[in-house]
Amino acid sequence: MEYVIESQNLAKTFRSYEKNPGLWGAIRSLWFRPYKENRAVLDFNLQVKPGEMIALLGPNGAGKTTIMKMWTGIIVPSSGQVQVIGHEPWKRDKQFRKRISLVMGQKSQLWWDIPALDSFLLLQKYYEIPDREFKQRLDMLSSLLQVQDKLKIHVRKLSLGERMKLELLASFLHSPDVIFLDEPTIGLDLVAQENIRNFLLDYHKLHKCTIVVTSHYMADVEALCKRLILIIGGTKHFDGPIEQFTQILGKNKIVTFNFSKAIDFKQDLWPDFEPTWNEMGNQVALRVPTEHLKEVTVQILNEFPVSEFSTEKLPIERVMKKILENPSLARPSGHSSA
Amino acid sequence: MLGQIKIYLSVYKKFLDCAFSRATTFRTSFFLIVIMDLFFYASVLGSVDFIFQHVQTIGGWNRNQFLFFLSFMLAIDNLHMSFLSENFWIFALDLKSGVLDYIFIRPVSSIFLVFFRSIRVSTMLNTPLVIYFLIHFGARADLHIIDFLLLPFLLLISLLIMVEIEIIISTLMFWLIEGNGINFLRMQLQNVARWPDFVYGQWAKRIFTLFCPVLLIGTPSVRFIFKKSDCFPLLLQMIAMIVLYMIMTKFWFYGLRKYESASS
Repeated sequence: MEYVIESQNLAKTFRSYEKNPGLWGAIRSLWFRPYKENRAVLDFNLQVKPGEMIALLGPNGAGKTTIMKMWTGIIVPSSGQVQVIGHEPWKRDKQFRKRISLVMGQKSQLWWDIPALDSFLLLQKYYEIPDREFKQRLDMLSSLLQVQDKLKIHVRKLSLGERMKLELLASFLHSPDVIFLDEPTIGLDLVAQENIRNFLLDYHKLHKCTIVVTSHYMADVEALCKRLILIIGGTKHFDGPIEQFTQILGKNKIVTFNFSKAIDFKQDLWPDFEPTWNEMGNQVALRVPTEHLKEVTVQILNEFPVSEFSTEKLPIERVMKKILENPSLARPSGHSSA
Repeated sequence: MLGQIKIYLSVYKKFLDCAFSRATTFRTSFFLIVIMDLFFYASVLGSVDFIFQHVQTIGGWNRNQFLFFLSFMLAIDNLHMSFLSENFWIFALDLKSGVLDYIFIRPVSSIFLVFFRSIRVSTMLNTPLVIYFLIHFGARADLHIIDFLLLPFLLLISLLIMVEIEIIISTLMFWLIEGNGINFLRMQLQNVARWPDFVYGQWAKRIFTLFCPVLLIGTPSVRFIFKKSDCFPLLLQMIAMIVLYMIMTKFWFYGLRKYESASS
């Protein structure tokens, strides 16, 4: 199988109605409902190869989760075609459902009032996992995630980070071929985020499964995925390697200068490099084209009382922010670069 | 086929394990439900017993026959409350919250997971009492040993019809999203089914036998037990069970296609 996931002109439209606030609005809505159609996903084309780890990126309401729900067969596309491991997901073939997995950072699959181990034993029955294999996988995953001592504790008594690890464990128990992770690190502290990222990297290295991630945290995307798909307004705006994504705004570097005193930021030099000043006026971050890096740095070092300076690549967050402010920077792309 | 049944039985056993594990977590609630169910049984049997202190028969049935019918319906109610009822309420909540997403990706029948996964253990504690009512009033109504042997089979058919009707009605939630109205409708239909069909007028009887066949839940079975020659209603019950099953699976399939999930 060349591609694990194939979407062609995939589209999803939701219907909702507008309701005016207050009592009159409520009464009126009983018989008068101005419906409007919301195109959540539009002509979405994508191919994903086996073993790839890709990220779907985009602002809230971009359509990332909707795409994921269509790929997992939870919702039916309004139009277009989709194949995941050779199945049409919405037909919900048993063999298809046995080979995929989904983790949603904002929804729990574990039974709240019982220990996670009880939920895992239930999943063992759903997925018909032989006892020996189940025990091996449970041991392996719980030690990778460092949750051996949490398995017998009621889920409602666990912290968010611990619960999320157990959610992941639940989704990986049946050795799925394709794993969909919808914001798996949402709400977690930095250490917990890193733990989960490390687990995903280790697991992927070990099992070579296909993983699709959506996240608002750029650190997740940078750490996990080589390929990034940017979705804005339900359409694909970028599909390619992360390095290529950071170069959408040109081959730039971020240079940060600290000065020993406040600097006049009205000088002609600064506006060319999109400066970001601190409140004191003694620190500036500039976006400098790589080819001018040397001359600009030398000029500033000569003309201003620089106490310290550093350079870094254009962070993915900054590129993202720029594109969200001006989506035309990344033009819609119908084809896939897979 | 046998393999599938084995898988579903093992899943159901796990549901039971989880239900016990959960029920024993909240002990006070556990015992309150036991007591509440006892009050309900007492009120149903007590009110009819009171009526029979003033009349000899109702619709041709004497006190013991009528109380046997009520015990039969209480047994169905007990099984329904133990193994199904909670799921209909949870379904309404899960549909709105998007928790169903996880259920729909499992490699198990979605109807099975949605409507059979939550079990109310506390109500199961009252099952022996309900069976006692059934045997006690059955003996008083002069039931033969064969009748008692037939009872589990008849109870199962009646329960299946009730469940099929309720699943069909609940499937409407895919379109309506808000489930309270549907659940209250279900409860009212349970109330209609709780009485023998002869207490209703002609039109009500026709509607609740042919259009929304809740009167096929209990009356045909009990009538068959009292009078073996009267097997047409039982045949009607069998046909209803099969037809309702076909409608239920088709309608559920359309419902799944309508499911839009909740945004996260």
